[in-house]
Amino acid sequence: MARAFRADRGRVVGRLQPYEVELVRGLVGDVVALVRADRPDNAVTARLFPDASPDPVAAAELRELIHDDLREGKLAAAKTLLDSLPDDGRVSLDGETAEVWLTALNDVRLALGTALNVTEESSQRETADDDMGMQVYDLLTFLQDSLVNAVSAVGGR
Amino acid sequence: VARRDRSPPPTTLVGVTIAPERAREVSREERHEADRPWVTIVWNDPINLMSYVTYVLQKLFGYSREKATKLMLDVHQKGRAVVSSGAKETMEFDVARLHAAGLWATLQQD
Repeated sequence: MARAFRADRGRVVGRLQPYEVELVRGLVGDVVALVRADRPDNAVTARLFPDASPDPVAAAELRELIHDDLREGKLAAAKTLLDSLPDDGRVSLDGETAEVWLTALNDVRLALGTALNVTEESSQRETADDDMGMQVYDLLTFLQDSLVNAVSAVGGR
Repeated sequence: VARRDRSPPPTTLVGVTIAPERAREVSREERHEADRPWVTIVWNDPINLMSYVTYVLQKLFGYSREKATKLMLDVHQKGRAVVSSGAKETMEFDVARLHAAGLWATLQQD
């Protein structure tokens, strides 16, 4: 199992098992493929690119304004994560890169959580040993939560 | 949910009763409509972590940990919270930044 991210002399460090490295890379790659495909009828895409207004006309206008930059930002964050995740899983990030990791990992959690239909109730239940989807989701939750704390510690918050 | 005009009664005009003032009342009311600030609302979702939402609100808006935590709890418990208000363009910027962080946000006129 991965070790929690922590702040260490101004950097954010963590350690993933090699199979976890492959898992995270695969999931980030899945998100990249989804974002590139840009299919608004997909539930995961709809969650990553939500309507910015309850009014459909205003939402369409805002989408024009926001969508392309948002898309580029998500792809860039995914690339940053992939580029700074070594094969051996020994992660060491400066504060800025760690913040980008937060965004990219969060997109992966949003994507997987949406695909798994995660609810507040289901995410609080203990995960069954054979529920692979939720096992992966729990790993992402563990990584994300410890990364938030480590980034906050490095940023002095 | 149907959209309703929830603008408060124009209290500044209370007591205006005589006919010639009517025209001014309307124009003032129109201006009141245009001047109403826009707000950015963050909505609850079952996936984003409480710690992460608090972090994002601190990071994007410069809020204290206390204020960001209170807003996060409002989102969590009440389903939504107004996280910023101001000019429409500023709210568009805020919503875009929140979407980039993966939060579910919308803007509307207050």
